[in-house]
Amino acid sequence: MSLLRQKIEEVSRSLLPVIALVLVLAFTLVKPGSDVIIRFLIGSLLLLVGLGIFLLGVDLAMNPIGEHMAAASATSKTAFGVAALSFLMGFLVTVAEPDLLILGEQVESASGGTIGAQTMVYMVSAGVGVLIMLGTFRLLRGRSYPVFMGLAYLGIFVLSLFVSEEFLAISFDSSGATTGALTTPFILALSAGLSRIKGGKTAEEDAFGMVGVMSAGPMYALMLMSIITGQSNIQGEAAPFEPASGVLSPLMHLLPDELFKSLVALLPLSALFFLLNFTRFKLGKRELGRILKGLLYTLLGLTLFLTGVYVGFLDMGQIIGRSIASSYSWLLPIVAFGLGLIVVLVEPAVMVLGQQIEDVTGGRIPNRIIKITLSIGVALAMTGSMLRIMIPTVKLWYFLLPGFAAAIVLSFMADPVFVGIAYDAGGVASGPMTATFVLAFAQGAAAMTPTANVLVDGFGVIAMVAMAPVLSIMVLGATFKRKAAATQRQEVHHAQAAPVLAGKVEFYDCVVAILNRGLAERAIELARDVGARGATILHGRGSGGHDMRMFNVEVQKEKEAVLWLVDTRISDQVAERLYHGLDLGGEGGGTVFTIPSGAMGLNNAAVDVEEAAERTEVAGFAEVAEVADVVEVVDEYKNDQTDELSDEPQRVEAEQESGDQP
Amino acid sequence: MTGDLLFFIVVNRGKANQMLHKAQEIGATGGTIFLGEGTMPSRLFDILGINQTQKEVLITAVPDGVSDRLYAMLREEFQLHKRYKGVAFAAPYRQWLPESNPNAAPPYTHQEIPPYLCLLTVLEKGKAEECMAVARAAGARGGTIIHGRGAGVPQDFYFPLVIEPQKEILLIVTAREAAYGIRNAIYTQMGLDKPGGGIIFSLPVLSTLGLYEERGKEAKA
Repeated sequence: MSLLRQKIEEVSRSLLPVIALVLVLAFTLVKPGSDVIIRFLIGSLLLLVGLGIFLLGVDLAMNPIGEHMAAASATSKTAFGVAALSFLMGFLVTVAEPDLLILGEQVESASGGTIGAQTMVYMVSAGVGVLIMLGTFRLLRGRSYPVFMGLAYLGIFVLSLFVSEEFLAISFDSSGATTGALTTPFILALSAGLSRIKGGKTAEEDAFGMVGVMSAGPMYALMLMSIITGQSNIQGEAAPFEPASGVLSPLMHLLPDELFKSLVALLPLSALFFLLNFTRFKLGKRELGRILKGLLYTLLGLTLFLTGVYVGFLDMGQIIGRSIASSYSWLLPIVAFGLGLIVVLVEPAVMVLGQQIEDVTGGRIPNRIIKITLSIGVALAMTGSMLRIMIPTVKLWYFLLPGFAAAIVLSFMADPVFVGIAYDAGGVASGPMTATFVLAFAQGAAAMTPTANVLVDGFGVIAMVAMAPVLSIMVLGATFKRKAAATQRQEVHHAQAAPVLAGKVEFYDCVVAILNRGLAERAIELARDVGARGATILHGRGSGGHDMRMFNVEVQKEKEAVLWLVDTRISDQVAERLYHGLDLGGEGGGTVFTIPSGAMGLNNAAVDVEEAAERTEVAGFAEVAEVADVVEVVDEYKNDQTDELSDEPQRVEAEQESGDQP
Repeated sequence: MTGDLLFFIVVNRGKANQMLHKAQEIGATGGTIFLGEGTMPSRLFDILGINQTQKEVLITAVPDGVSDRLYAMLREEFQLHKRYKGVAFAAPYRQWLPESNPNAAPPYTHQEIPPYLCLLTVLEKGKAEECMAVARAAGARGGTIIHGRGAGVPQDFYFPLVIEPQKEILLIVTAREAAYGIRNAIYTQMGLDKPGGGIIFSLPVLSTLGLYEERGKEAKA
């Protein structure tokens, strides 16, 4: 099974329910023309293949690029270096976003030319740059994320008092437009990269949250523009709806267009990457080749995906919204709920986020839980939006203000990993599918509802879709924390029966400690005291039979495994030190075991302890070591030993010294 | 029989949880799961850059006598003896507990020479694939990559960061006779003789299920 097949399977699992629901609607309540249905099916196929290829491209190119760039900015030697690089990344990834320019043009025409489209694009990009810069400093300094985000949204609330409701909606919408298909995966990778570099105990929660940080940027930029220029009210009308006709001509018309837009969106970031690669990273041929291939996949996948979405979903959304609103308006909230439940899972960024959550938490937080919560949040947001369209007295801020306020309060009570994920979820959920299909559906519904305003109500939908998942995942995080604490209390430590010892004497033992997360650093220190140097940490998840469940999905404990390669004569001391030092018999919960290692080529029949000790004396060891086993090249060792294998005797002395150390 | 065994089971992503539950029903005490990537020997996929598959590695300890049942379960429920379903192998181990006394331990009475070896190569991030290519040229069939990190080294940047070097660990299980050649090839061609180049070591493997070599034998028999 290849990676591409896995990706396409993953996409099809999310896409099939959407196709099914739309077809059911199309054949029962809504009666679109047959060309619209055919285009929808072709669009779905393009979306399926395009998104699969795009996700592959994200894996191959966007993730490594984000990581390398994160490393470059975090390891700058001056504060200015950190600031400049992080600002540049935020600015460049936003400035080329095609959705932003479209929004800019809408704002330009709606504001009667007071705010130019290009000016707005630059302002919003600068806003994102500044926020990414602040977010980077926050992360590297290790300041609290909930406080940072709380302050960011407090500022937005204060500014929102000075702008009109229309402008508020557009500000929120611009934040949805900047978190596009390309931007979000990159920023997610950037965040993961920064947290990996910083490491330490908060590495996991730091891996998320940057998308949340960046989505505040455009809001600040637009609201400040509104206040400074004095432009407070927006009058305009959404472009009249004309469904395209035919099948082939819209497709042929869109494909080159989308290719060009995707290319423009990719260029600035790629240029910065290659510039930095030339001056700083200097990647190997193989890795660079991989990234180049990945960029091509990204371009191809994005083009196909966006073409599919525009060809198949835009008109379909409008038609569904219009016909349901005009003939079965009471059904509107229900249909909206169903659409919200499944459409969000087709968003590219949702898939990227899910993957990243599994990678970062070693599979501890199954991405199904996050997806279920996200779906519920978006479905409720859609229902709320429909109510708002149908009932004119219900205002946008009735939802947004309490929603965000509750999210901020909950962020202090939730499991820290979820806080970052929750703030990210807003930007992640409001991607290209929301901006086309869902928006078109809402606009269609608003157009057929006499009391609704197409422009204001249409924009409001994106703001709602961006807010609801933040709240729903925050609720999940708070529940998770409470449940985890309860499970912890119930847990009884089962002492395991001592296994029969294999008494073979080897020259190396691989000591493995399986520990609860966060103990690895301490374990390495302890082992170093007894002479075990150099260690490798693995990130995993484990089960002792006391797992908690959420949405019927199993949630396991997070584990770290630490591997050392030590002389057999000290392996027991290392194990003992770890056992007592970390209190593995008691509350700590964990195990230490040793595996004989480096047995290659050694006939160890009838080797007893004494004989082995003799053989270890210089000559025997040299012979054994030459044919086989362990070649330790941890830096520290290098000072004691020469590079040649044939110089083993010297190395044995070094080993013995370390063995005698305690 | 074989004594206590530590099982390493490599399967496609998403299967490890279920597998761990089944193993616990049989008698395994618990287990730890790591995310990893498998490599595929396909030139076309290599050129396209899609030669990795997503895997999970389950490590679980099994007491004496249970290993046969575990193997039977892996065959029946997960079809590990068939192609592309996964690989399992077992190494001897001992758990360290305060009451255990190494001096009083009985001598090593397992098979004298392990029929298979598991080669573990710890490399800088990004090099595992190249290493797999080297190993394959020397006769290895497949491998699994797990991501890890090394112990931290403080560095002098604007932010006083402790950089934890990213590592990749490549697991290759192979017949003992082939292991020499592979180890030598990796050692010399991957630059492990240079400081910081990486390390390679082996664990004895007493039994396997689902290895390519083994399947060949089964087909003949």
